[in-house]
Amino acid sequence: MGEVQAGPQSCRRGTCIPCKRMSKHVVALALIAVVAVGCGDPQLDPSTSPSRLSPSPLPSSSSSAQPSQSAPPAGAWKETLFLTDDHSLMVGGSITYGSAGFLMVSNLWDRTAEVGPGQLHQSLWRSSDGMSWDEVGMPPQLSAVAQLLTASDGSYVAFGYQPTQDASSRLVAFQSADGTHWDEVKTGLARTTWVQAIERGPAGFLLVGGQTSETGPTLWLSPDGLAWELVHDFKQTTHWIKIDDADGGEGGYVVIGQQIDQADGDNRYEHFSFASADGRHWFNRSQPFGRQAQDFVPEALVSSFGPDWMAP
Amino acid sequence: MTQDDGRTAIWFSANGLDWTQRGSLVSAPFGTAGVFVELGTELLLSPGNSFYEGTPGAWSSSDGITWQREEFGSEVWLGDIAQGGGLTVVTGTVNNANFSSAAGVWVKAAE
Repeated sequence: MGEVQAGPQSCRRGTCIPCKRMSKHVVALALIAVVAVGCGDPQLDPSTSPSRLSPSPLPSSSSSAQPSQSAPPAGAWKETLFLTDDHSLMVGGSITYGSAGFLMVSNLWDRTAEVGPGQLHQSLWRSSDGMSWDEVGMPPQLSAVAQLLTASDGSYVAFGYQPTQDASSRLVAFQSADGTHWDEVKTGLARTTWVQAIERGPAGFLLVGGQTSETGPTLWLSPDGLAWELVHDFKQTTHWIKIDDADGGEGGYVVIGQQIDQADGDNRYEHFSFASADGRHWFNRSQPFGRQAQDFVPEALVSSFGPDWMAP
Repeated sequence: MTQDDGRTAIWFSANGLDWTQRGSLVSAPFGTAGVFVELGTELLLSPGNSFYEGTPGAWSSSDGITWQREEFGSEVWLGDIAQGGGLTVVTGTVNNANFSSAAGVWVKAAE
């Protein structure tokens, strides 16, 4: 498989926490990068079979993907949507379940660019039953959707980016009850926030703002998924800090990351664990998984598991 | 996290700060960002990511110690996951030939 070029936020060792490997975060980073060039809506190729669809950057209205399929047997995975062609990188993106069923973003990078992953096209798909999918229009004011969320009232929230006059981009959010009609919402999030992850816990939603060239990682809390409040700023004054993963559960919230002591001339990495019961008062633990080998520093994952936590 | 022997260590914590290793995943998935979520009484781990990095596929476990591979019918790098209406739905990426990839959705009903 061809390599996909790293996103624009790749960092040099010693100046910030580098992306050791490409990750799911790269999708979001790439979205930020392509905002300035705009996006089209991949559409269906009617010559293909119902379950194998070819995207095209040609604009058109929303269209039905395929006829309804039978429900999957309990405990077995069933493929219900497959988007492909021979000339594109298509990547399954963010998905959420809300008041009108499932809503999913598909990312397509065409291969026409001589260098880099090419131009991004996104499409938005909705399904009431997980089996039959309809393509719906992207939020018209949003150049790129980075993450979907279901708010506490069941409505959808699409976080994404809009180009700015200074050739940069700003974070924006749009809300929809049905996945088709979108209205911008004022979130209180900083315009430079890169939405790395959103997790649900006992005090509501925790949004992880990832490290970018402009900001260090940040943590935001929201009772409803719409209005956000900054609860922690990982200021990179003594350490270079990068967040790997986060989750919320019965016991609160846990964030796992990596850091480098800026005073350490060897630039040695160490993991840290950051935990809170209420999303506001946080406690830190360095090297929670023991001393970290330096030849390869894997990104950690974390999940709630009942009242406890697991990290592979 | 990937160990020296190539296996993936599984760590447990009651408070999110103090961690002890509970076991390791025999299938030796690569230690990169992926999908790791609690689904009811089970954990689902996809150690690769939707940019088809790391090991494709997913494993499930009811205790974090014993893991079973999930069958999707193809080699899938999971991207995201959602639950609702008695269904679990994942998005993912499948590697194609000629430097291309496909995006897909897979659905499983609650048991």
